[in-house]
Order: sequence, then C-alpha cells, then structure tokens
Amino acid sequence: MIFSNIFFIFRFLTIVLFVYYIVPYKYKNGVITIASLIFYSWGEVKYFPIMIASTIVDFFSSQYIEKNRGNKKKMKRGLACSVIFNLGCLMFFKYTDFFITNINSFAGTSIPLLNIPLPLGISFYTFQTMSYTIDVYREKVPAEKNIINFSAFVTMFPQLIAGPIVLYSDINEKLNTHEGRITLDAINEGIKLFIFGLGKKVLIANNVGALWTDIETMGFAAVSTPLAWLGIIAYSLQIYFDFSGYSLMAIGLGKMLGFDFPMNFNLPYISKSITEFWRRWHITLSSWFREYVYIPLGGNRKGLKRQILNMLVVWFLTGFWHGADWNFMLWGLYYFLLLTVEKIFLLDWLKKHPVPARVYTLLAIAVGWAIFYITDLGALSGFIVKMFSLSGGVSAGYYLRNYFVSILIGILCSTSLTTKFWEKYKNNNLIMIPVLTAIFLLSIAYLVDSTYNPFIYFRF
Amino acid sequence: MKKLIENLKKYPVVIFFGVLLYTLAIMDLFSPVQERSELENRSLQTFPKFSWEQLFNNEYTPKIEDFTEDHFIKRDTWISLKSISESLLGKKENNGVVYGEDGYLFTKFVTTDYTQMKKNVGYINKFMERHSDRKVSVLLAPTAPGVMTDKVLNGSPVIDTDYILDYVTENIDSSVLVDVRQVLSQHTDEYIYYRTDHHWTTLGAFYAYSEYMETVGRDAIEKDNLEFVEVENFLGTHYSKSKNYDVKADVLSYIESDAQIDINGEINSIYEKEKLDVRDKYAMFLRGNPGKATIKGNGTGKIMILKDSYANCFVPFMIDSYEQIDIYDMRYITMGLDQFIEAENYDEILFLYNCETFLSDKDLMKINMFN
Repeated sequence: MIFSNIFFIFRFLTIVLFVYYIVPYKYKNGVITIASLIFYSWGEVKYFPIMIASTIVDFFSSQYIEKNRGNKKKMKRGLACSVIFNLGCLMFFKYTDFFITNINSFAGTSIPLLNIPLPLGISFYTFQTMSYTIDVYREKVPAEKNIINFSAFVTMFPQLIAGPIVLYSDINEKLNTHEGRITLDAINEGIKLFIFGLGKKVLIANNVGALWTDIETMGFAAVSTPLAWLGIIAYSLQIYFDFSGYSLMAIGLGKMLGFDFPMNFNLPYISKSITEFWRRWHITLSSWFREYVYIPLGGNRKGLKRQILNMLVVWFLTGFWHGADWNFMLWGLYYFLLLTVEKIFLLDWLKKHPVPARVYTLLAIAVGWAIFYITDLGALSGFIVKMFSLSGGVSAGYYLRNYFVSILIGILCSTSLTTKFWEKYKNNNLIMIPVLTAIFLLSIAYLVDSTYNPFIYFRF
Repeated sequence: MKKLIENLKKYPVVIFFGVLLYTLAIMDLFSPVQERSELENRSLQTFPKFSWEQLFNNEYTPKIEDFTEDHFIKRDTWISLKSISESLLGKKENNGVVYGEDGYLFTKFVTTDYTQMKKNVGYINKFMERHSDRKVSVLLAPTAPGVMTDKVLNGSPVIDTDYILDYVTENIDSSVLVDVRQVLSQHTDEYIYYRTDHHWTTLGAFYAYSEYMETVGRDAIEKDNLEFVEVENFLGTHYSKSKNYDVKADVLSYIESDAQIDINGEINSIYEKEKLDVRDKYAMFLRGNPGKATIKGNGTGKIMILKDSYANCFVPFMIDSYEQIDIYDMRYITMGLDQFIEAENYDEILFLYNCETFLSDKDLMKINMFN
C-alpha cells in the first residue's frame, strides 16, 4: 500500500487511527503491528513471512547478546546472526539476479534468473533491524524485552517502505511509554506535515514527473538539448518532491501515532556544495552509513589516504544500495569523486564564491540524477552528450508550455520560502487551515483521477 | 473525556481535519455504488469477490483500491476540480489526450511505432495478389490532426498521418489507394471532424465517400440532396479520457434512412437510435461494431468492406448505389475471407480504416489466414 492513495487515506488510515486511539495503551503497539502487517502484505502477500522472520531473528539475536553481555564470543555470535540474516535477505532478494545476469554475460553461462519481485522496502527495514542489533551489541540501547513492542518498531507502517530510516534508539522510549505517548500537540503537527507531504508528492512530484516519463517514452537520445535540460530539471524536482513528500507523510503519520521520526530532507537544492547536499538529502541514510560503515572503518581518524578509501567504500555501497545495477554503482562513485575533490581542495574555494558554488552544485546534482535514472549505459551517455552539446531533436516548446508553471512552483518550493512560511504561520490557524484544506482537497482530486501516480522506490 | 474536549478546542486543525476526513470517509462508505461512469463512458470496478488465488497473485488488493477510487464520493466533481487545476497550471493535455484550438481534442502520440503499420501494408499487398481480378481499394482516413492542422497547437505530440499515408502510397499499388487527404483539406472550414471524439463527422465521411465513388467510377449523391439530422450534446471518446471541464460538446449528425442491417440473421434499422440518448452516441451508426453484417441497398453490385468504426457513418451514403454491402470487422473474423469472396462474388472490396487504427491494428493479418 502507498500513502498517496484514496484507499489508504479514507479506509486504512481512518480505521487504524480510530482503533489505535480508542484501545488501551497496552494494546497500542499490538495495533501498530497488526495494521503494519496488513499494510505490508497488501502489495505482496507472499512476503509476509519475511517480515515476521526479520522481527524474530533480530529480537532473539539481541536478547542473546544482552544475556551474554561480557562474553565477547557469544555476543559476536548474536551479532553475526542478525547481520548475516539481514544482509543475506538483502543480497538474495535484491542482488541475486544482478549477479546472475552479469555472470551469464561475462562467462557465457545461462544460469536462469530467479525473477522474484523485490520485497517492498527491504532495503529500509533490513538496515533498521540490523542497526538495532548493532546498537544492542555496542550497549547504546538496551535489548527490547517485549516482542510486540519490538515488532511495532520493525513493522511500523509509516516508515516501512520508503523511510526515513528510523533507528530503534529514535523511538524506543516512546515505544515503552504508556501514558502520554499521544498528545494533541503532536497530532496537530502530524496532520499538517502529512498534508504538506501529500501535496509535495501528488501535486508537485506527479505533476512534473509526467514530463520525464514522456522523454523516456520518446527515447533519451531523441530529445533536443533544451528538452533534455527541461527533462532533467523535471526529474530532479520529481525525485525530490516524491521522496521528501513521502518522508514528510511518514513523519506526520509518526506524530499522529505518537512517535518522532528523524528529519530526512532539509532543502537539498539550496546547497552550495555536494558535501552540503549530502547533509541535506536523505539524511537518515547518510547518517546510517556514517554510523555503521564509515566510522567503524576508521572515518577520518587514520589519515587522508585511509579516509578517502573509507569514503570510496561508503559511496560504492550507497550507490549499490539504491538499486542493483551498474548505473547505481556509477552514481555512487560519481559522488565519491565529487566529494573527494571537494574535500581535497574545492570546498574552500566554493565557500568564497557562493554563486558559482550553487550553479556547480545544481549542475552536478542534475547530471547525477541522469546517471541515477538511466539504467542503460549507452542511453545514459547519449543523454549526457545531448545535455552538453547543442543538438536537435524533439523540441522543448510544447513541454515548456505544459510544464512551465508546475516546474516554477517546484523550484520555488525547493527554496527556503517553504520553511520560512512554515516557521511564520505554523500556529496561525487562519492561514494554516485554508492552505491545508486547499492542498488536501486538490490532492484528493488528483488521486481520484490519477492518471500518473508512480511509486518510484521499487528498486530501493 | 471532558478534559479532552476542552483540550481539543485549542487545536482547530485537529478538529477540522478530523471531521473532514471522517465525514468524507463515512459518507463515501454509504454512497450508492454505480456500475458505470457516464462522464468517463466506462464500467467502474465492481467490488471484487475474494479468492485466495487472486490474493496470492497480487490481483485482489489492487481491485479493492480501484473500487474505492472508482466509487469515491462525488467522483465527477473531483475530476472537474483536477481539470480546473490543470488548466490553471497551463497544462494542455490529460490522460493521453492533447488539447488543440477551439476545443479540439487529439490522441497523444509521444512516439510512433510504425512496425505494425508496415506489416499491415504487407498483409494488404499479399491479399491483393490473390484478388487481382477484383476491384480492391484502400481508403485510409487521416485522423483529425492530419487534416485540421490549424487546430493543432504548435509542437503538439500528435500522429503524423502524412508519414503513414506517404508510406502507404509508396508501398501499395497506386491504383487501389483512395487518398482522401486533398478532398478533406479543401473543407477544413467545415465541420468534418468531431472535437471531442476520434471519429470524423458524417459530413467528413461524406467527402471521403464522394472521393471513393469517383475513384471506382460511380456517381455519388450530391451534397445538396442530403438532409442531415442533428443531435446536440455529443461528448466523444477523447472527452471520456480528458474530462476537461471546459469541453465544447459536439453535434452529431446523420442522414435519415430506412435501410435495414442484417446482423447474424437479426434485421433492424441501420441506426440504433436508442444510442442517441446515451453517452456513446456514435454507436448508433450500424448498431455499433458488428463482426459481420449485410445491408441490402437499392443499387447494383456487391461490395465487401473491411473496416474500423470510421466506416460506420460512411456506409449509409452507399446504400442507394449498391445492391448489397457486406461489412467485416476483422477483430471478430475467425474464418478465411476468400470463401466469402468466392461465395458472394464481390464486385468491389474496400479497406476502410483510419490512420490511428491502421498504425497499430493487429487483426489485419487475418485477411490472409484460415484460407
């Protein structure tokens, strides 16, 4: 199930919230678990057992670690159990076919593909549960004693399929809080965030995204240079508003249920360097890699050479995490290169020249999205050539007329105008209610007549 | 409880959206279920019957979602709201339909794949080799964007009918091709294509008919002798997709006729006038799209027409000139055509398709099959 859907909003959510609010506190985590399992199974019933297995394995691994605290060998055994299970699931479901395809093409074999659909959100929840066991191992959090509370953490539907990546330590206090978990103050904020998130996804992302889909249909090599740029701008806006809208809806829903999820996006397109961009884009993922890969590898404490090697590992993994294909690796390495160049010398220069810094950053991000989206490496290089050499093809005129206003709205909403508006008026009901109502009703209108409402994280 | 209500007063957003969400949800739950959408001219998703098989194939839950969406309370109002918003955003398209000048709607073609079209030309050539002793003609009607060029906004992604017709002209025996481009282009200031539908109007069909009659050396009816009956408020297939709030409805017209059509032994008027009261008014011509039907005329000679729905308002003009008109819709034909041709000994054979159908039609291959 996805959030931007009439069924989710008017059936699932209304029933779940109603039941969740009226049951006594001791049953609330049970309600979350059951609701989340229905939410998860909705799209792919067969993967229901993975969710259960994931919960059980990490729950008992951590219990085992906690019980054997002090016995390094046994603790490591518990940790290994969780890490192998989670990474094993991820490898099996997400990467097996990629490896088979490549082995087949390099070695000339014909090993049959598994052709299994990717379990929804597997990249998100395997990271979440794995980090929990690691945190227990590191004594950062106590092991959860109640399996229902734990399953509520693992399955929690708002963040289950597209993040933010919520760590156990983010919500464990609330999970074990009975009285006072839910406050009207939080519900009040949650509603606002959910509606803004819905608007971001349905009104902006879907609206500009249709342009990129048209370009894909006509073939990336068929476009003229202006249309290539218009297209990549549209896609840059689509992926930002889709993803951050989704995260915002998740955070809003979390608040309605009484949890505080971490912020996932912070106006990434106003960045003045790629280094800054990655502090503002998909923050919970970058933090995860920092916390569980980069720092354990030694981070920046072992000299510049080692630091760059660590960055290479992190960015290779980040790229590959986004999808099992060569272009995602390329995308990760692309950012590794930019970040390394910035680290070594560019960052200081960028700080002194804000205008070229912004231009450079946006250009680099746009090229990055082309690498990210276009799986076929031939088509990708064709498209990049189109972007940087003035050449003819399908002209931009028609698309510019159709998408100009939507793109303009998207650009304005990518700036700090939105956060300024939020800070100024978030408690001004005379402004908030009409604005939210308009966004909500329009979003419903677009969902009822949904001609284009994609779910773009199916590869994650 | 009292404390809660007291507290709630401090949160008008919570009250407002709580009430809005639950009111809509409950009203929607109790709103009556409709089987068809008149606006969209389609059957709506029915409530799916549960089966484990469907559930495990992931076919059950999407139907539940479609059902909720299709029957959402005041569906048509939401659709109009979206349309108004799209218009404010300057969008000139919706759901695969491109908007033109003066309320014209066209099918959107982001790219055009000509492979099937080229195969279809090959099928017709092969057919003609077998029937070179008969008068075979091919009339491919350009769709609106190819003729009403000044109604197409600059750069719109619409079909290039000239490419198709030029290709056909080059690759088909020129004696059989009836090119109606010129005659239609001479009348672009007249009402020859519907704005909201993918068909030509009865008047447009008339000009093409005149051209055909001239090609086969027959006399066509004079336009002045025809009386067109008009039916207002026709909203066609393109509008069913675009659902634009500012639609300009069409006027459908037909010429009165007491001719009868024989569909599987059932004989009725060639016009199903009950259709004039429903949304899909164009379906009145030849009673929709029968697989195979016969019309007895008042003239001489027998003609076989292999056709799509563009022929439906074209055929009535021919009734006075032919003794028998047999129409075949290749979608429903599962027997060899040659035996019909032998048995009926047709004097003329006409392929009548519009360019958009001809571009992607996969049933034309059957004209050489089953023999």
